[in-house]
Amino acid sequence: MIARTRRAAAAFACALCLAFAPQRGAALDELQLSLDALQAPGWSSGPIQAQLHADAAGAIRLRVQARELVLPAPLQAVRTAMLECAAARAAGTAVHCPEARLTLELDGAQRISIAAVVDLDPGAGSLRVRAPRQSVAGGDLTLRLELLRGALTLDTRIDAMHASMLQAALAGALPIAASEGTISGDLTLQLAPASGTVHAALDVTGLGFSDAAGLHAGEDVDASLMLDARRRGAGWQFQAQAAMRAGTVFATPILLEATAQPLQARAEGEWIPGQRLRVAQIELSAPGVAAITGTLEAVLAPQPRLDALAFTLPRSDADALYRRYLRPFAGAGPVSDLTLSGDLSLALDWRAGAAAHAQLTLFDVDIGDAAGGFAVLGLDGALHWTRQRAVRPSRLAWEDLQIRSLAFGAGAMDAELDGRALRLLAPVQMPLLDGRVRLERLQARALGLAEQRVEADLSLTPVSLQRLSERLGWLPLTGSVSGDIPQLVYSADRLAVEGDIRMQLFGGRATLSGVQLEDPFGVVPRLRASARLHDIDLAVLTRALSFGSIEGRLEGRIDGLVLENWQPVAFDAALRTPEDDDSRHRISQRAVDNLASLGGANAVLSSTFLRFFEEFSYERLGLSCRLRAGVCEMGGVGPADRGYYIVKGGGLPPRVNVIGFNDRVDWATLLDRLRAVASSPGPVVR
Amino acid sequence: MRANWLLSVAGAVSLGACVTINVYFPAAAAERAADRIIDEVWGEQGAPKPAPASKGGVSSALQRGALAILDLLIPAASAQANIEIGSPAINSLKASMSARHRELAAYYASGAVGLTAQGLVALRDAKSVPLAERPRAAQLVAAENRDRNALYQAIAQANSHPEWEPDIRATFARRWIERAQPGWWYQSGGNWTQR
Repeated sequence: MIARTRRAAAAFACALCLAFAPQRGAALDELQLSLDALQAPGWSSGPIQAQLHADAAGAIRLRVQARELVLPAPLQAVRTAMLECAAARAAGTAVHCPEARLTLELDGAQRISIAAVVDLDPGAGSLRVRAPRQSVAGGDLTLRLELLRGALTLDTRIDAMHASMLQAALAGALPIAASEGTISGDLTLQLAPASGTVHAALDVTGLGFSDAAGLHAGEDVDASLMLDARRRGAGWQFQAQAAMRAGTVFATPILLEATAQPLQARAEGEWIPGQRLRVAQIELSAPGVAAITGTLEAVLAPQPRLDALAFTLPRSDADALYRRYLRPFAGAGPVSDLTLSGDLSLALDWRAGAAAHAQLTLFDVDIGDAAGGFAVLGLDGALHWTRQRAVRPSRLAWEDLQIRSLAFGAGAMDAELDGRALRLLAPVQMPLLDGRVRLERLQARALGLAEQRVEADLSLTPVSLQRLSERLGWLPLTGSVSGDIPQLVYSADRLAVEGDIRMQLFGGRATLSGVQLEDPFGVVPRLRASARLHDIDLAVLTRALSFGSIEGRLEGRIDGLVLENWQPVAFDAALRTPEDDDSRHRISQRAVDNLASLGGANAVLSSTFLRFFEEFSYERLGLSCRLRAGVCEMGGVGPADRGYYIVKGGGLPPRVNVIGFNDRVDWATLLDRLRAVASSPGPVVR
Repeated sequence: MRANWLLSVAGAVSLGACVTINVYFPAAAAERAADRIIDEVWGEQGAPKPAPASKGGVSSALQRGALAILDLLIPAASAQANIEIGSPAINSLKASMSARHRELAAYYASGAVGLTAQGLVALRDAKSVPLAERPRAAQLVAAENRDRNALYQAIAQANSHPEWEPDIRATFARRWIERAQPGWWYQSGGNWTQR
């Protein structure tokens, strides 16, 4: 490649020789030369044109123009270079231009014009450009350039130049436009075929920049950058430092603000262009977090990708770290609105496709999620995650765990995290109201993938349903729930109970089956379940609900229950007296009135003089409702002549029938009637 | 059988005019439902547009004409169907979107946020948002889209027709844009235009 340069230069030189040789015959006063292309190690050029004009007095005007230049950084934005000499002097093959003008055209139609002293000696393969301090692009520029047999030396200093010049240097590397600010700095380059050094120091003041979409932008940025690099074999050894003293930068989705504490970064390593980048030492300090140190390795071909990463974040404020640097990545998902307090530290040692280890240590951390109704307080401990390495047990302890309005008190957990799997090492016991919850087993696999699955087994010592329903704001229930909760499985965005939940309820039994919560962390969680009720003691039930007094037993079913945002939107329910129930069947006047009002204003007492009695007998009673699209299709224990029986009279007189006529009732209205019944002051005599 | 014959006559008329009509999706009721929800979410700030039918084109006039024929031939019950929008999920989503609109309104007006052709919103011009507010603007857009996606699905679920979700989304996409204030930006044919 050098040979090609030499040949081209030699051809050029010959032409000049002819031009400057002592005249032997016809005078040569105009010469034009053009080359189609020129190739050299590290740079190349498109068409080159040279024009020479000698006037009668012997002064020579020289004009050389090179287009379609491809130069190494930081000159990569230079597309066209034109050198004009008004009065050149020649000595042998050398040309001396004391008043040269070098005009450079950059990408983006910017143009710089520099006055310089140029010495060109194609025979010796040398070019020297010296530009004394002068005003360029709103600032001062001093430049010294030497090209000697393919070795380049560049020394340049700029002062208070407009920031748009920075864009020119970066053009192609980053698609951003610098709109305001000034740059000062110096750059020293020495490039030879087998060696090179670079020293650059840059300082910007009041920099404003932005990309086209506004996703990477800065305002009022005061920053400095220093780079030292030395060529070593096929690569460069470098040391770089950057600091942002003032201003704001938005690099989507993170906002960086240099406040009292500047942002600083330092890196040292080796870069083999097109192959590898190895940073042996990184130091980052940013507002709100302790200084991070680490190392990094990346492969650059065929696509840039991270090969290894190790870093340590010493103990830092968890809230500052979350709010500034983690939450912007959470979008609007489940972890996007947490409140944190306490400190944490993090260490990671990771290699692509190979062994990795991370440790997260928590120091008295509180995590709260107002939207999800969840809080953990006083978390302490260390989580160890490993992959392709010996597993290390993790231990976390907490002072309080709250879900909705239930408080689970203090607890501790020992677990193993291995790759994408998690395993609880010992049961976790937590108090719940007047009983205890034990997490017997917790296992997860494929975490983070679409096929992730979490399984848990819980057991309860008896927990009072009265206290539970009170705490959760449900209708008052009496009884208790205890025993083994069958396996809980979370997969495909659904939390399901595999099996039945049994509880003692209102003196009888209830069995919940097919309980599942869809989209539990989403915008609209949806609960589905079915239930069977056995042997419910109506006396206990009606007393708890202030419904009047009914004696007897009740059985029931609720199929296809769907709760959206914890409110019923569909179900198929039927409650009725069991077939073979031989308990006492009595119903008070108040209960009769309440049942009548539930069935709608059209329910009718079968005999008006019965209103003087406080208590009636019934043979059987029942009510059914099928809820769809806000409407309850109602029914009772059997058809009457018109309508359906809610209470069918029987047994010792006085007896009563309550008949309902409305078979379609608006659900919201029914709920209002239930609430009215629960809060009514006493019987209404009609 | 008679009803089928009537249906196929109507189908022939509309097909002859190169228009396909999904007889089973109550488009007019969906538009009315969408308008009600949009009014609640945008409050008085939503510009009251009088005509519910979408503007423009021979094809939509033919579509309206064909719908009118079908109204005559098909029993009244299905033609006057109303879309159910009273479920707890829908109410909760409306409340969340309406609260968020108080912050989003300024971004609609400045052009930073625009209405997309899929019934969602997008940060179309981050540059017009002050630098320090950009993370918040991006987060508002993400949260609004999460709610909108859940809303279209919730309406389909409330009517026991999960397969209606794409049609509901398309109806909303049109109506958000129709009811946008002058000066707000929206997507049309792949480009951003201003109302």
